[in-house]
Amino acid sequence: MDVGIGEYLALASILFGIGAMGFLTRRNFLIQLMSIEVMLNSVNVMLVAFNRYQPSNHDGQVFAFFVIAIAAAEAAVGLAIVISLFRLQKSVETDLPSALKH
Amino acid sequence: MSTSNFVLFLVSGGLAIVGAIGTVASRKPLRAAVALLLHIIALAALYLTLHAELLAALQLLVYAGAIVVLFVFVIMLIGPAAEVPSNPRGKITRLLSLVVGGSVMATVSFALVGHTAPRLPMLRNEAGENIFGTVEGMGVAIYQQALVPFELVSAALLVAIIGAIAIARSRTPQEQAVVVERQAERIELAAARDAELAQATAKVGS
Amino acid sequence: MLDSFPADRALLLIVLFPLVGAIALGLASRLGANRSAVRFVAVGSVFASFVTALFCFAKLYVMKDGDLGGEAVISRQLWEWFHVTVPGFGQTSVDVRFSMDSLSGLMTLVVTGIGGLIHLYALSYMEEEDDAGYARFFTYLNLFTASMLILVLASNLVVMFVGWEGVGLCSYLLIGYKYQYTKYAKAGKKAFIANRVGDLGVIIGMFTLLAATGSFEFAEINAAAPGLKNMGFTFGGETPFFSFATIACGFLFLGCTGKSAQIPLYVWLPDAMAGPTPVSALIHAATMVTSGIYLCCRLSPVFLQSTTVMATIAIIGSVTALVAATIAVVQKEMKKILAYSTVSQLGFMFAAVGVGAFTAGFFHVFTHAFFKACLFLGAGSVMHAIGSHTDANIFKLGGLRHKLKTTHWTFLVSCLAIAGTPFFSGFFSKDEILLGAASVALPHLTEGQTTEGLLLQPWTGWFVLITLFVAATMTAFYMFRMYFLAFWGEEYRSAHGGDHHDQEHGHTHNDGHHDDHHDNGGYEPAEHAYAAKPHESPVLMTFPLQVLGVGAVIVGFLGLPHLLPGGIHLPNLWGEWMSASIASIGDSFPALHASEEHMSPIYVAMTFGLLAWAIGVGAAYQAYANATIDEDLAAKNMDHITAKLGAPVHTFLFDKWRVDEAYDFAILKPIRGLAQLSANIDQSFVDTLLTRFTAWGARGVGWVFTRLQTGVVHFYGFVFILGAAALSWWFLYPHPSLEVRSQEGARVTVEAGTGLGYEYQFDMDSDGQPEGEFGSANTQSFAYDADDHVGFVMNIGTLRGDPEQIPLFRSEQQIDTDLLGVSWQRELAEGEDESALNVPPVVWVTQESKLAIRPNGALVRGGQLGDDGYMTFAPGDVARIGRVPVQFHPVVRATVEVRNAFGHTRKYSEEFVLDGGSRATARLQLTGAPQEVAR
Repeated sequence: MDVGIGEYLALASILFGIGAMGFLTRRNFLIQLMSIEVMLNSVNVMLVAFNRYQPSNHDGQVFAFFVIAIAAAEAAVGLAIVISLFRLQKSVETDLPSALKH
Repeated sequence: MSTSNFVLFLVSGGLAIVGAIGTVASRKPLRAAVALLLHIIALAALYLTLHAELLAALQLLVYAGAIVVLFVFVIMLIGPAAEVPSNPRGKITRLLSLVVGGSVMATVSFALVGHTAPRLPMLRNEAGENIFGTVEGMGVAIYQQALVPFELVSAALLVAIIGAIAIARSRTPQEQAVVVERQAERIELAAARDAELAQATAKVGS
Repeated sequence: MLDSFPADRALLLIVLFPLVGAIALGLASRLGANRSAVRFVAVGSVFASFVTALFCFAKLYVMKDGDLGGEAVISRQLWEWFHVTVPGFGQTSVDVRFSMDSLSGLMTLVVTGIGGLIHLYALSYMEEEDDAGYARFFTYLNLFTASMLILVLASNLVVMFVGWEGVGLCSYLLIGYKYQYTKYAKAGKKAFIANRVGDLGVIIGMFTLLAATGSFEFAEINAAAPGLKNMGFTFGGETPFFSFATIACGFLFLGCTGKSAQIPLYVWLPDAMAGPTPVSALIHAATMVTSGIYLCCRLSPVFLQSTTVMATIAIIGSVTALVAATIAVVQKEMKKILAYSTVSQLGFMFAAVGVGAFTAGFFHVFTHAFFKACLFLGAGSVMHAIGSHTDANIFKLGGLRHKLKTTHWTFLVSCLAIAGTPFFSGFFSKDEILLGAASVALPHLTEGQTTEGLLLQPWTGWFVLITLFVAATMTAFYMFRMYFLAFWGEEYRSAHGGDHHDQEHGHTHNDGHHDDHHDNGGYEPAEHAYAAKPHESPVLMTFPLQVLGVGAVIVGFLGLPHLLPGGIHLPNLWGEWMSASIASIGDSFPALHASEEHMSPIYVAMTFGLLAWAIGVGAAYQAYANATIDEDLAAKNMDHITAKLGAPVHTFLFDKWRVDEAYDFAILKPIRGLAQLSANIDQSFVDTLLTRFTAWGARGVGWVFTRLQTGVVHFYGFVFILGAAALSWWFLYPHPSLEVRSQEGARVTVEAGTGLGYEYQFDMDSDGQPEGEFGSANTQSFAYDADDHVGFVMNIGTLRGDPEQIPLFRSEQQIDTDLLGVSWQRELAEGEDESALNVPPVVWVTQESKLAIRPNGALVRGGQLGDDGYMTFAPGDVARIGRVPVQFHPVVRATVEVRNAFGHTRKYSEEFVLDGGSRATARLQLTGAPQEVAR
């Protein structure tokens, strides 16, 4: 039994789908942020998998490295927003804030 | 690929999926964070099967060591309010989202599974050692070929840190007053608009 | 010293001095500069130009080497501006080139010399303006001088047109110099628009000459002129109905009527007197308005080729002279009288041009420049003396000869000159014009010659002669009327009787729709009473007057009558000097070539000239020398003589024959109506229908998109996922396409559409066995043979150009006769029924893969009719059904299989007609469904 690139990519797309569904269905800001992390991770899997089959350079892994770095930044800002939102409405529910609309 | 690799793939992939589902499906954020930790560790293991040793280490360091901890920290800070009570509103939308997300996931993974590609020779250094995915290889890639993006990313991180502080810091009483005032204004405005609308509707009705 | 500096380079300096001066003054008016610096630059540049012009002129004289009539040209090419290709002549370059010959040399002297004097005069006259306005005035004036010099020195029509437009622009700017007042701005606009009408004529004339001679250069056009008479639009006849000469000269003359204020475009000049007096003197008397005559003289060989245009010019010129003179007789303001006098004198010049006396016409330009500039400046001096800014009403002046001594004598001398007093300049030039008319009226016919062969019929000469005689008489009369009323009389009338209520609006009761008086929004410079004690102008103003006054006396001696009764020959320097540059009618030009046997034109001309002077001046003396002004009549703009005309005639003349009103009715009103109509359409159709519907559409789309902005994060996420799904679908599966890149015979090169990570495998003959493995090359060549044909089509040539493609089958099919045009039927064979011809041809593909056509009722060519009643054609053969070409082509099918990075493959087939690369319009089946065929 062998594992090809297809399996890795399929795994990545499954993870992406789970993250996407989580982002769409959950109304808890914290969980939505975690869903985004899952999606980012799935992309990383894809990048690393592609790189494994084109191993003459490190493009995929370097890209994944940058994704991790940006994910850290994203998490920091996202959590800051969570705190700010919590201060404003005493809740982290994302259905409530629609003030940006107007 | 060896059988051990295959097994490792199955185990880590399965755990990653379990972790992901746990993350998105948990009611309690703390449980979700723990599931996310599982997911991340499983992916780190998965990276090992792909010859991305350094990346696996970084995954553990940054995700497990920093991001998940940050999540937990915020959950602790917020306390019981971190849990959002279930809301029956928008059930259809959620169902629709599940259907769409699920079908995308299913078709894409179905389209991809089973596809193979030839394995090409891996990157070697001048001494002929295999450096693909090692610290040496990645170091050369990051600090020689991707130096500018790397510096930009560090700048982005700095900006994110300062931005996070600016957003999350507590407000002085004066600022708070302004915020409250604005909020009151907005509510007033909305009320006036509603009243206007009601009036117009009444006019049309009569 | 003359040799030390090349004259052709100096030629450039003539133009550059005032141009640089204009730029410097323009900057000064913006940035502010010392007034004395402005004065220095303004006058200095023009005088420097004058000195340079004198130098060039001297050089020209030296080049003529003692022979005044010899040809001499100083020419300098600066650069090639552009080049055009003229049908029949090839490429013609249009150069920026200046040249000076005897004609342009003299004109240059007039422009710079008289222009310089007027600049000098204006220094003092414009003293009251503020600094910026002062500099602005001289900017325009210098720019005008530069433009006029470009016009004069240009060696081709295009460069001349630059100057032509430049002087028009400066005229507009200077008339509207006090643009704050609506009246002046309107006068400027009117001048500009009237000139534009003429400019269109100049442009058409220019291009006609280019088309006929292949050049814009004056020298080349003039050299080619004799041929223009017999070229043109013949309308079927032997000789051209409109020769190119007639068309070109006709349109050029239209331009001249605009620039030189002739009927029908003369209306702008009187209004143009709104500009400051130096402007009137320089532009609207001495230089710009004479550029029409200059152009006619420049192209005199061409004008001589068209009898029609010459006669037209003669008649329009003389009629303008008369009409303007009748108007001038009743005017009451000095500048108005001078304005109409200018129109009238320009009419004289054009009459001279019309009867072929170009030299005489240009001589009059020269003398007129002196005395008319002097008169205008004198009028300006009077206005300065009485403290009026707008005009001087002669009814309110009088007795000025004691107070303005210098102004008086120069004015008198100029009046004498324009009236044609013997031995004053106007006498000689007017005499030459009359002589030109007289020699047309009294041709000295050789034996057996009839008037048929002459360029102009004698009646033209008589008409011009009589009209000009009347006009000259009136000229003498109205000039001395003005002179006596303004300068004679016992005392200065305005000193006690001068209430100013009747000045400008006094006659509004009798001209209910007089435009320029009550359409100006009631906003014009305030009239104020004339100064009680007039004083002589400063020396800066009187000096130019004196120079011009002396000139008005003496310049006439340049053009003495060549032949006097009694066989006295006098040197006509002017005529000799000009003979090199200006053509004349054959050898009949009287001033130079008259012989003693044919003295009659000279007698006639002199008699008429002296009579006109005597009658005019005498009558004016009788009527006005000791006249008293009746206040009541003056309030009605009349004096005791003009009142005898009767009120209606007087009003008609005073309102300049009501031409403005006629134009208003005939041209302006319809145009205003059209504008109103357009405005209505704009409001009703564009604004409401188009704009509003578009706005509604935009608003609707905007509404839809604002609905999308729900503010719900989940919704945004949903859209994001949909987009990601679409992208992943696009990248997961390949999207093949195929196109023919080239086709040579049966060898076809196809190109597959590219995509990320695509690999291609071609199966060009679509037999299921690909030619190669998957590879990254996306093009493939293949030579098709007969086995690869999957179908056949027939291309029928159509009138639209694109051939109609018809799929062919093994079974027979009828051709739609609509595709075959009208004459597809063959001739009726013997013993055949008519209805047999109505059966359309039938086509099918034979077992040998050839096209078979059974002609039936059609005429089919290009093949042999076999025994079995049909013709066959191989692929690529051209048959003709009736007149329509028909070509038979095979169709092939190419297939490409594309694999992307995910390993997904997809096949794509495309059918091509082997006719050069078109795509088959329909999927083809060799064994199509049989169609019903009428046998």
